[in-house]
Order: sequence, then structure tokens, then C-alpha cells
Amino acid sequence: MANGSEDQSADNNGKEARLAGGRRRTRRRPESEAAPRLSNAVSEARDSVSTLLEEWRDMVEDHPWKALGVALGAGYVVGGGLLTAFTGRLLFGGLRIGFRLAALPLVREELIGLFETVSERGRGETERRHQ
Amino acid sequence: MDTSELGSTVRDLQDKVEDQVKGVSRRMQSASERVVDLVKEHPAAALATAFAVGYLIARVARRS
Repeated sequence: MANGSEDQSADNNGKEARLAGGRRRTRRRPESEAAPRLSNAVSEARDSVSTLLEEWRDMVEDHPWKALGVALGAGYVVGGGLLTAFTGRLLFGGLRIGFRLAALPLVREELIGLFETVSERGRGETERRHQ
Repeated sequence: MDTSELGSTVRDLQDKVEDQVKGVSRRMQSASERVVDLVKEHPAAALATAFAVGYLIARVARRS
């Protein structure tokens, strides 16, 4: 009986030792694999951030006004100005100015034609008087 | 006032207005070139300033 219990305890000790070894192994394995994985992820993230910054700089150099407008609009939206009366006024004012600008060439042509006819009539009258 | 005098007055006025418009457009162009140079030299600062200006405008618009 005593031998049996000793064998059992020895078996238990062996199992515990194996388990502990396994735990150690399972703990060691991710540490050894995680370091290069982490460094790879960090380097990839760094590369993607640097390419993003380069693209962003190129975009700003190519279209500076557009970039400024986008930044201004983003600030306006973040500041909560999107759903305000000021936005409505801006939109309606922009539409009004757009319509006026679209109508301006027509009005200008009409005015230039009117001035030309007036000046030609004036010239004709002065020539008649001289004659 | 004679019609010929009216025509010459209108032409003078047109010339003056054209000169003024040209002057204003020249000034605007030089200012825009300056802004573009500034943005190209300091892109982050320029965009951060534009963002801050937009934010401030929104805050003022919300209050009023």
C-alpha cells in the first residue's frame, strides 16, 4: 500500500513538473515569437504613417487652397457649427452670389451694347453738326 | 449734356473702373501667392491654423 501511495505521489510530482515545464514552455514561446512580431508591426505602422505623411504633404503642395479649405471645414464641423443658422445663411448667400455671377455676363453684354449704341449715336450727331 | 460727352464720360469711368479692378486683382494674386508659399513652407502649422479658425467660427456661430 505504501509503495502504491509513493508511486502515486511520484506520478503526481512528475505530472506537476511536466505541467510547470509546459507552462514555462507555453509562456516562453509567445515571448520569443511576440518580440519580432511586435517589431514587425511597429515598423509596418511606422512605414504606413510615413507614407501617409508624404502623401499628405504632396496633396498640400499640389492643392494648398483645397487643403486649407478642408482643414477649415473640419474645424467648423468639429466645433459643432454644421447645424447652425450661420451655415444656412452661408449656403443661401453662396447660392445668391452664384446666381448673380451667372447672370453678370449677360447684364455686362447688355450694358456694353447700350453704351456702344449711345456713343455711336453721339458720334453720328456730332458729324452731322460739323457737316 | 451732349451724347458724345456722355459717351466719353462713360469711357473714362470704364477706364478708371478697369484700372481699379486690375489693381485689386493684382493685389489679390500676390496675396494668394504669399499664402500658397506659406502653406508649402509650413504645411502642418497652416492646416492647424485653418482648423482652429474653423473651430472658432463654429463656436461663435453656435453662441449667436
